[in-house]
Amino acid sequence: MTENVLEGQKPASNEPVLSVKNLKAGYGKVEIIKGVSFEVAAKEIRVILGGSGSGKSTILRNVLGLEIPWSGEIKVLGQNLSIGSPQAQKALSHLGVLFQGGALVTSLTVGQNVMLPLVLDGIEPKGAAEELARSRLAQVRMSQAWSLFPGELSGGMRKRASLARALVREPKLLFCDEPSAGLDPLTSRELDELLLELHESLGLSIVLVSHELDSIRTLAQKILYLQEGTVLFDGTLKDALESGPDRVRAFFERRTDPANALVPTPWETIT
Amino acid sequence: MRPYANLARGLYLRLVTEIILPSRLDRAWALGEGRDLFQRAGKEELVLVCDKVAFVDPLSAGTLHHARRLSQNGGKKLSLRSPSPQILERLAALDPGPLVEVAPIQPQPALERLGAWAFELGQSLADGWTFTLEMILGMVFLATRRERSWPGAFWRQLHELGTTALPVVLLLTGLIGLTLALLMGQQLETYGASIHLATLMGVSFVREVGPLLTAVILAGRSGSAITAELASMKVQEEVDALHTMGASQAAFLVAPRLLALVVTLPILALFASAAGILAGLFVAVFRLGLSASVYFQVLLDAIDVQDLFNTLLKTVVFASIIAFLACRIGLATRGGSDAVGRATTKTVVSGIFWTVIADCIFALVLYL
Repeated sequence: MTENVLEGQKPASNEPVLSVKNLKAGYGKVEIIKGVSFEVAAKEIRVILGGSGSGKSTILRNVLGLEIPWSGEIKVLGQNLSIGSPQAQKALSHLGVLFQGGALVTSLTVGQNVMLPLVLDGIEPKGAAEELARSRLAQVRMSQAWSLFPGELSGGMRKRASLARALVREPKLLFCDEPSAGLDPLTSRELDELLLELHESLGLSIVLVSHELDSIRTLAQKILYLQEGTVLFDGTLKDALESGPDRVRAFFERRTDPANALVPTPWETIT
Repeated sequence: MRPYANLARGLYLRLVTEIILPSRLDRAWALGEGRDLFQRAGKEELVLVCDKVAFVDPLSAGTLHHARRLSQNGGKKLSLRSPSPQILERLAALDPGPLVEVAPIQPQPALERLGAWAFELGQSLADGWTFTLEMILGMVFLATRRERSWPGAFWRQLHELGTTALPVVLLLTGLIGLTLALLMGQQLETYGASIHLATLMGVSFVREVGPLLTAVILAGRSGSAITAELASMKVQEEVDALHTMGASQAAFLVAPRLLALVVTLPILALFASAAGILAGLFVAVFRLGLSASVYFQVLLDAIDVQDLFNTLLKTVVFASIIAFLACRIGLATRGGSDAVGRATTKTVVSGIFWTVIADCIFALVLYL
């Protein structure tokens, strides 16, 4: 079954593309993720959100195998992603990742960057690979940047180029780490629409870490709200807005927690 | 009643100090009279008369808040007399809130510190060992085409780490050769042994100065370049991105650099030796009046193939040390741009240090 998935066939509709069970993780001695479980179904857009320091990026880094989890189980397309195993390597090729700053290799041109995943699969960076990379760049409307270096691009262009690179292997699952970070509202909106378009045309599942409300409203089908390393809410965006915990609704209504406000100490006065 | 009122007022004035504040509490006040306030706060009961105050700048608000904190710490009271609501509002807007105390770090007991240090040392040795294994495997996989690097990465590194270093290597070794030849020529001339300048220059440059000096120059030039590039790739998540694409960092990043340096350093060292020997020739001909053919004849008698082979072996080891340290330190970088700077410094220092140590070991093994 899982082998079929890896051979590029469509996953059975009921099998989650990503399942995380009771994940605990952290850095050094500091536990950041304190037992998180969730699943992402095929063709679902899932947004992981929460305040700063709630562990959103840590979950992402653990799922991608960039950090070793303390305990728990992470399965991508039915495969365990422990570092170094051949299955992990295979499963990785079904993932695309859009990093916060784009993370393009600065010594390669944009075109070479987009071809990079194919080259790592052992395909020569010319001919078919080049055509495919060019078509992906055209999809993100970046054809003109083929022979430019990442240093010559603006922040938004760098992210779009990185998106083209993430899509070049036709992944089943796309991870985005704060795609709107550092972008102006218009560029950020364009990127969101591009993601939606790709979601529909390629049947992508998307896991997005974000705290941009506009972007979440545009994209999210289901959300996972984290607070201090635990899941506060897991469900559809609609449910979250209507009947979610107060903290979650406060987030969407941009209400701040009055308990966090600073109360000034009154002065001793004499009249 | 009046005498009693005066008495009460006198008593009050002895117990509290009234300070009349000016109409503008600006920067000048904060840096002048405001500072005097700190001397008294906490030692006396203070009343600040605010009748006239119409303006409070941020620094003065800070001064007042600090004076109040000092008073509280000293167990005294600091009050404002008849402040306007605007002033109170202004002070509330700039209220610093309570001090959040961070527990001071307790110094660890010596035994625990020693344990932690030993643990860290063990861990870094284990990490170094894993990194070495990973690197060797990466190169094997790269050679067997199981892992990939960007086509042409090796040639690019060869050019950047090697070819572009040639001018500076030639210039420096040439100049040092000239200096040494002048000094030695003078000494040899006094003993009538000028001809042995060729022997000395040949032996010292082929065996020692050429390889070592080239290694030191490359540790500073190419080692730092490798570390700076890899460290900033790491900081900007490029290394993470490569990992998620399934690239092995050993094959993709380390192998081309290591191979390029291993190929480059021996060749550069030969060039460096040649530059030094030619500088010696220059001194021999124009300062000591020897003929070029005699110089080369003596030179060829002094060095043999074994010397060249040893030089080759030495430089390959130096190159491996420099590239290994540069890649390892670069890829272990965590943090921001300051970490990149620290990593680069560390590479240059440890690269030169371990190169000299290795050179010393070679000297002991080969010439003792």
